[in-house]
Amino acid sequence: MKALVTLMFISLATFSNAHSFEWNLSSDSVKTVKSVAISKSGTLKTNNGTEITMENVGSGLRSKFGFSVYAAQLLVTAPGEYTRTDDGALASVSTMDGLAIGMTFLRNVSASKMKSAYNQAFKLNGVDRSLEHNKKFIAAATVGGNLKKGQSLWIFAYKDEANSQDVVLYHDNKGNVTTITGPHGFLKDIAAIWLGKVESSLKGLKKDLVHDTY
Amino acid sequence: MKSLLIILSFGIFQSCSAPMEALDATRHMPNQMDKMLNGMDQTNNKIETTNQAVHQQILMLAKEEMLNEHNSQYLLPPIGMMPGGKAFAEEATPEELMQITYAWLKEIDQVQAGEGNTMTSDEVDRDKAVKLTALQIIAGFTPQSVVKQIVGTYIYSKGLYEHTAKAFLALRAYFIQAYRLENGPLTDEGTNLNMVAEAIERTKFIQYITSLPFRDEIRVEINGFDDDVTYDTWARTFSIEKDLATNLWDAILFLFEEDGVQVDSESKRFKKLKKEVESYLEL
Repeated sequence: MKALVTLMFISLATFSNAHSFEWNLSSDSVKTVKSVAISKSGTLKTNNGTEITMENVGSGLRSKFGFSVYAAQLLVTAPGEYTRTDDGALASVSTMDGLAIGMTFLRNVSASKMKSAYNQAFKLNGVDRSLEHNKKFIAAATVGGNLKKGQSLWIFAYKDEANSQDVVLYHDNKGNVTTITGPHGFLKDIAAIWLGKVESSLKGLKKDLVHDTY
Repeated sequence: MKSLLIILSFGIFQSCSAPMEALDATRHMPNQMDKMLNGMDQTNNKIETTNQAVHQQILMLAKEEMLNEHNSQYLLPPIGMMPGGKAFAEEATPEELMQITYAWLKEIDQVQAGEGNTMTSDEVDRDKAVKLTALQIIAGFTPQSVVKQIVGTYIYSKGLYEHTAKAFLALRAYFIQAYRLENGPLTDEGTNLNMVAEAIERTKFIQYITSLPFRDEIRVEINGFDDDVTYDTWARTFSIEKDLATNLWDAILFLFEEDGVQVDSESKRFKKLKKEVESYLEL
């Protein structure tokens, strides 16, 4: 009984913590990456009713040691301001209101591998991993368990100016949504995973996300 | 009396003949010793020949096991090739390791379809991918003591296979990182302390390579593929990133910090291993 109550409490806590939102991708795709359709645009409707429209600015394949890991796509709120240079892309995205990064997996990937990848990316970019919002982000990778081939996960980051914070929604492969709030700059730290300093095997994808044009 | 003297004399003569025979026998001893030593040499040579034959047979079988069509059917990951590659790596001498690395890298670089062979371009590329994978496996499983011999003999002493040895190290680092760490204990589910201990040992192999003063020269550029898009995993430069070992140590430390290790965090071994990892990060 005690265990059941504990379980219910955990479920309620998780539920109450989750922000409701809607994510609608346009049906017209700009290209395919390993047979995964890359959408032209998408609209995020946040829990307070705000609609954030984004356009695709880049997509590509994440591969490592020869394995195709996932097809990635990046959508941003101000595509016209997106700077297509290795150093400029991250800076330009950090001034925007929001972004979305979609990953459709081409092979099974363990949750611990995703956690490890986020951890390494934070380290490379000098992001303080001991801060609560960063720890929550890394932990969100395990909520949906291991990723299976064909499953997708989306990460949304937007500025909540009214509350002077950045909000990140981690929509995992099982449909769970983890909402994490952090100070301004959180959005940039998330974007840096793909657009900041990246390990050598991620350079190909970064190049595609930065220089891809449709 | 006379007869007594005759008997005594005979007895004395008889008693003297034994040492004399012994003395006679020693005259032949050097010959017999030589014969015995020759026999021992021959036996030793035969044992040596037998050992050499066994050694060559192990290498040959290991190579066949590694390259046969069934085991090399899948290269990502090259699971089927690993047992043969490991057996080869554990048996081969430093010189043999350099010879096969040199020969196959040359083959990968220079062989073209239709030039002295009837293979298609696809077949040649496929064969090259298999050989390069095999070299990675061999390098990745070579015992660390042998790797140190290779570095000493061929790199520090500017031996015949200096450049091959550097290529060998680049392939070794790649294989250990890819298959013995990142697709292994670093990301497997339910990591326990024995897995972490193994990851630490394997990362030490990489630490050794990244710490070498000629780290920037440890590289091999693979240009021999006709279709370098399909074979982009192999048709590229293998080199050593400056932070490679540090990043791996950090990934191991992450296992401790994020409850990735399924063990009592207060245990002595947990603390000892974590401290060891931290000491490498402080370097």
